[in-house]
Amino acid sequence: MDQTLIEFVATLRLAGLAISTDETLTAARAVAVAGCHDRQQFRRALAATLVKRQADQPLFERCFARFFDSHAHLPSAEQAATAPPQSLSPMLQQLAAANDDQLRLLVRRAGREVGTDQIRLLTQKGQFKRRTLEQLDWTALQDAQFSTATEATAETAALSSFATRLQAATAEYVDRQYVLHGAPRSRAIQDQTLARTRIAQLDSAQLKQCKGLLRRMVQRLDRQFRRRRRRSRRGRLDVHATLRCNMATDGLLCNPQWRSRQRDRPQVFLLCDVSGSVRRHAEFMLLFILGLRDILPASRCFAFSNQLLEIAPARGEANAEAALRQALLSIGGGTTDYASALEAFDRCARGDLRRHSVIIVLGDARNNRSDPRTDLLQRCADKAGHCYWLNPENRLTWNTGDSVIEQYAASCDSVFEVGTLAQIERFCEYFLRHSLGQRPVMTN
Amino acid sequence: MNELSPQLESAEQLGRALTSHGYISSDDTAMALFLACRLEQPLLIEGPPGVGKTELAKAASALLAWPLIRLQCYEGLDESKALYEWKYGKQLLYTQVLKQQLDRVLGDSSNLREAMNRLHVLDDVFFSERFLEPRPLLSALQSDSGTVLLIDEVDKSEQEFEALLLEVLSDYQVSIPEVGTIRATSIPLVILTSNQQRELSDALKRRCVHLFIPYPDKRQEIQILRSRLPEISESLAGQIAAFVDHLRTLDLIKQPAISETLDWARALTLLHTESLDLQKVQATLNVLLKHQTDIDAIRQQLPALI
Repeated sequence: MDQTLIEFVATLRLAGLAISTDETLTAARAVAVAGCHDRQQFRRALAATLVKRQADQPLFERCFARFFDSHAHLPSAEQAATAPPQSLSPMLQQLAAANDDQLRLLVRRAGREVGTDQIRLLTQKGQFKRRTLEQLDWTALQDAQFSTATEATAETAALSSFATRLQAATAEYVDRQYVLHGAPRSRAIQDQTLARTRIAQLDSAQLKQCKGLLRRMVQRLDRQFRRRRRRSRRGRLDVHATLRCNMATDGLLCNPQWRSRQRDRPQVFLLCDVSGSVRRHAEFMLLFILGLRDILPASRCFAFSNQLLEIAPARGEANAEAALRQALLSIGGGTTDYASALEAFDRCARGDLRRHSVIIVLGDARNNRSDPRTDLLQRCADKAGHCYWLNPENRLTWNTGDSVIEQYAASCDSVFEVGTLAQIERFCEYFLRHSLGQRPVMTN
Repeated sequence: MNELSPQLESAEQLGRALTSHGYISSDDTAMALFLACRLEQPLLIEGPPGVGKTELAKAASALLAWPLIRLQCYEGLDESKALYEWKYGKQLLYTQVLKQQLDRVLGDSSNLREAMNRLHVLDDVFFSERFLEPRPLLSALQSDSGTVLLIDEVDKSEQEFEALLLEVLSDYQVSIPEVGTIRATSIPLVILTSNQQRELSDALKRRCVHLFIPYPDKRQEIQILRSRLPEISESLAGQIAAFVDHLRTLDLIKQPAISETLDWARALTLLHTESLDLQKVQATLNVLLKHQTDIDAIRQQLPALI
């Protein structure tokens, strides 16, 4: 039972649940107390001790169904009634005499010994199948089959049906191990590669996968940075709390308590260039900021090409994507004009900038050799707390041609390269850490 | 919990015992409470407000015949209000009252060092357990028979308080610098409830058996109504449950939970209602829905819903 439980916890971890060793031990004790004769009670006992977040419940149910599913009959089970020939080894005799469940159990034990849970790729299935069969004395069986191949007795028929049955059981076991262990691992490798590919080079199928990956990244950032605010160390003195806390020192003010709290939820003003080559990056960045709405509730997003358009805040993910698509449709076609965009932004949003505001501009800073109006950006950046520029181009091409990034960089805190999804995520983590004033909590 | 009462033989029996004490529970709830009792681990219950998290603690206390100690959490709750505090006033008073005695003890010492040595013997007297004011957490640990400790709305407290809870919940002991470590004489059943306003720390969640109580389904709601209000007719209970079930599918600011359903059913039976009609529902809608926006929106749709 313990071995099975450890394997199940391993599949849960691969699926994305964070389960510690302590929780596994508790689950083992819970199963011992609740018993495993009733499937539903067994599932409930595991759910109560392994699933600690409500959002993980569907994931747990899926993994449980897949891991402990009820099986179909193995082929040619009827022919197992014939007695196995005495020439076979004891292990093969045991296998031949076993019913479906016992056979599966023996196959699983053999599979564990050869380490089938280490399967990573689809192409390794054949190799692991062979290894498991080897462990079950497959060569001896094949020899026996070979030696009786010329005769057409009942013994030959029995041997061949037994061989088919064994092969079917092993294939089923290795397939399940791949689904439980290999597929998530290969998906993880795929995700990593995808995050490091330059966004401009992704094809449409990869783009769709990116959206899913982006959603997971947003969820991870959301969980990391969701903590409450820090208590401030200055402000107005909270007299009641101070007197109460200092009763031990007979009222001497050794431990003053303060009333005000630091307002450290930044207000983000995101300006995205949505023309041509930069459009995809803008879309991803907008999805990030819209997805982190709970941590950045007052964020305002603007898209621009030759005019500026504010993207209305929307409830729910589907609405956010629809609003985004609408904005892109209306102004996506134009050529970039930073001057007019900055002018429009200065007009409509500069009045709302405060010390806790953060301006993020995403664009390649290629202004077609017209006036960049860096003074406008400087004015806005002075009023806001922070200003960052995100450039999707490769760092080597900055300041070549009509790129004026150096001029804009003078007004910004820093300039980041955001050519890949991983770089966008890294920027978001950096800016959240610095604006929220907290270290991210190590979760998952 | 050390002597197994017959109710704790299996999860099904515990579920039946809870029903007999007036709390209709789902199988998940019964299993989670059963594991918390048998494994001697705390139980963390999460769910929307009004689904019966606090009621479960009360039912468990009635079931096990243990007293219920309740600690309501809020922002700014700290050690002195939750764990223990020194009786400063009493210490000062005793010092004054025993001044003469102290003079006698120290009076015949020849020099300062001797006086200090004598005083050292006494310094534990004023920081002993007698001057310790136990707050809920400590009194739960110190009780001789078992207790049910309910830590209500732990998500409203701060992270510092959660860190404080960690020692209590994992080892059922608390360290007081002056007195020492106080271990629990009998392990209490600890139940933590949370309204999911914020994410609790993983260290706290790791130590607990986890239970999520959602809104009940129609069948369960009817069962609860008939159990809590025996005078209600079966048809009315069915109509109420169907109505509230439908309301939960609509887009409201606050969906009605089982506590609001019970209050509404009680109001309707007070008005001698046999079946739902437009007038009575309009009159009592503010018992069921707690936001004026929701009430206005539903009032407009009422003719279609009834």
